[in-house]
Amino acid sequence: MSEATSSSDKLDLSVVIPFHNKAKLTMLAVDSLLKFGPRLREIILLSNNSSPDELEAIKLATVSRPFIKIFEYNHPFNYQKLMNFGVEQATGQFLLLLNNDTELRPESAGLIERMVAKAADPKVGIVGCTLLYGDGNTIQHGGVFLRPKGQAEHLYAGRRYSQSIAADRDVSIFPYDITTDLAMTAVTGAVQVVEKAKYVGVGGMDTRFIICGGDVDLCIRLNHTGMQTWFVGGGFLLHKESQSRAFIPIPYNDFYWSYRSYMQGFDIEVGDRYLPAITNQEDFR
Amino acid sequence: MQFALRVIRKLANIGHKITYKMAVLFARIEDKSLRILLGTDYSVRARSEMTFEEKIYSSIPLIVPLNPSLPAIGRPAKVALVVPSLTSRGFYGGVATALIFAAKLAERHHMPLRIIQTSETGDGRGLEQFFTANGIAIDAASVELIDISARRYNIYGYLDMRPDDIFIVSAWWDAQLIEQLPLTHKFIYLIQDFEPIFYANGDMAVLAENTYRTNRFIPVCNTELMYKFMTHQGYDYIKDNGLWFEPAVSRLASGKAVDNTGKKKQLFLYGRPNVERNLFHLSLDALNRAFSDGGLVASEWEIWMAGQNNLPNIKLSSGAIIKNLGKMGMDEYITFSKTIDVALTPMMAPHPNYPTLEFASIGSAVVTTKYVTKHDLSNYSDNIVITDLSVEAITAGIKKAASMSYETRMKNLATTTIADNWDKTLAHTLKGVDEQLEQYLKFD
Repeated sequence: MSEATSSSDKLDLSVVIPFHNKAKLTMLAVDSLLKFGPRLREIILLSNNSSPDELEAIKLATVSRPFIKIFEYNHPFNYQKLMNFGVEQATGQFLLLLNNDTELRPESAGLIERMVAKAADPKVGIVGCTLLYGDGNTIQHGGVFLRPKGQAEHLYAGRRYSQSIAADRDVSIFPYDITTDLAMTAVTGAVQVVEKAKYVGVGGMDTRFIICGGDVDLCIRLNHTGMQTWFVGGGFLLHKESQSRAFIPIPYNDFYWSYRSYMQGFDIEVGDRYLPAITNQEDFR
Repeated sequence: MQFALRVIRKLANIGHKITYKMAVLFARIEDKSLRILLGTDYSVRARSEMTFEEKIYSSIPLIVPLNPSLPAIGRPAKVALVVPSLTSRGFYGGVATALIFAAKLAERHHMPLRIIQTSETGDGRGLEQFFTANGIAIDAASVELIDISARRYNIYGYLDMRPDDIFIVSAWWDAQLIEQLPLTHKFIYLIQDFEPIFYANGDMAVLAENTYRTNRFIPVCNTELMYKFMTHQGYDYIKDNGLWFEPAVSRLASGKAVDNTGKKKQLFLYGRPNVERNLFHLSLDALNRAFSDGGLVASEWEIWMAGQNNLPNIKLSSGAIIKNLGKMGMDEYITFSKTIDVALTPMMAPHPNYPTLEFASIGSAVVTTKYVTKHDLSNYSDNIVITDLSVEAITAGIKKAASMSYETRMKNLATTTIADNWDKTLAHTLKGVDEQLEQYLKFD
């Protein structure tokens, strides 16, 4: 087990995990990270209006681990404000922003380390990776691209992971090899690695977003400052999306600001600048 | 014998089972009915909680937001006309004017046209014919039709757009939707009526009224009278930036009203009881009085109404009968209108309605009503008799119109100013629109 220690091989990495109740799910994310991830500086658990019972369960589960710090942010849900608050508490050079419904699997050991190494490059901003649904073979996220006549979408979402990484993959379905590193417009906020100075340098997440869109916006803003978003290929985390939070209607506000932001990353003549082979296919998903 | 007994026993058993199952079924139906009646069944039980979005947007679906999405690759900026619906029932009144305005603007800027339907799905059939009839050289097949009427509180509606698209709206709820979009140009708000008066005091009236209070639109009023009314209401932004045009609805080019001298005179009621500002019932009362008090003699007149289907003919106290022609097709309406001596087209709104101008333009005498700043329509035509908003005044107006001779009505055509050419009537307005389009909006 690679629990955070004082040994010299640990990464100067602060993991920030927001949660609302779901103590069990959250601890699964924490434990998987500790079991299969790198040695790290700290884990910051950010409670957003959790019930006393669930919060207590988290405290009990982490009581013997001083590097796991619990903070409460008991304001109405705004993902951006929540994460900015969490990042303020972080002391590490690097940040791993992580949803509490994720899980690192043993076959992906070393993935976080590679993401951090990538993020250390001065020309790199946010770093993401493949996410699979809970079944372990359906892609939830292979990076983010900007879809003409659409919004920001997850590359290969809903497709079979095993087919996407096969040596003889069908390139008409999987034009990009997600076992390799790829420059992208953005990666999902569910799992993002970034140097804290870079995050803070662009003002953190834009709090005008409420629920979603702020993660992609952050990538686009960093891209514009010359710090490119990268997708690190090979390995994956599970993302049991929708288990972490009840359905909340996305307010118009987020669509408005997303459009404003995405237009900054979008090329009207090409579509998505980094993955044109996808965006030129109108019906491709 | 034994076999017969077995059969009887079997049948009795089956009968028993059927009876039992029927009894269970009826008991369930009874139980379910009782629960429904008591309001305890899950299907009718009041929900204890719902989201803000579900409550608001289920009650007022017109304002379900329109989420901007990225444009198609390579697509140029377009003129985007936003209308509640483009049904194949035909393009009349405000929608027709909006179509003409948008098409003329698109022509002027050499931009493609798209039409966005926000409330009801129509297939746009007849668009080509409509454009041709109005001298618009736009290939209807090149017009992009978009339907976003299916959006609900839980179904997002997306509109792919460019920030530099030029939007045109006419209905208040479309103004509200478009006002929220991230645009680099102000959108054009065709103010063709004062829409808060469509509603009783309440949410809808306030929502409609508030759309006049922003500064993100280019106000284009349909008629100077409409502009004056908005100014009178204290909308300073509209006062300072408002443009207007006079609608080219003259029908004179298609022929004058016929001379019915010596024959039964023809009276027409613009009969739309479902459009309250047309004052259908007051008009009926006024007609009843005009034909009862000796003003008009029933035997000398034929009375018609049109504008709404499924209305019965109406028998007045004098015995005169108003025959309903229902909703007429455009060609039928134009032919019919030339037979009319007197048209009764009340309008409890700040602008002259199109039937008033259309009938006056061909030499019919027209009775319509005043409203706040609309006191006098003689600048359009002396064939228009405008009355106060009362049964007595409308009755007097009918009598006055009926007394106008055919010669007088035809003579009045010489001084009629009702526009007959959209290019001419829109030229100045479109120039003003261009100037305001050049003032780019700044994003915050």
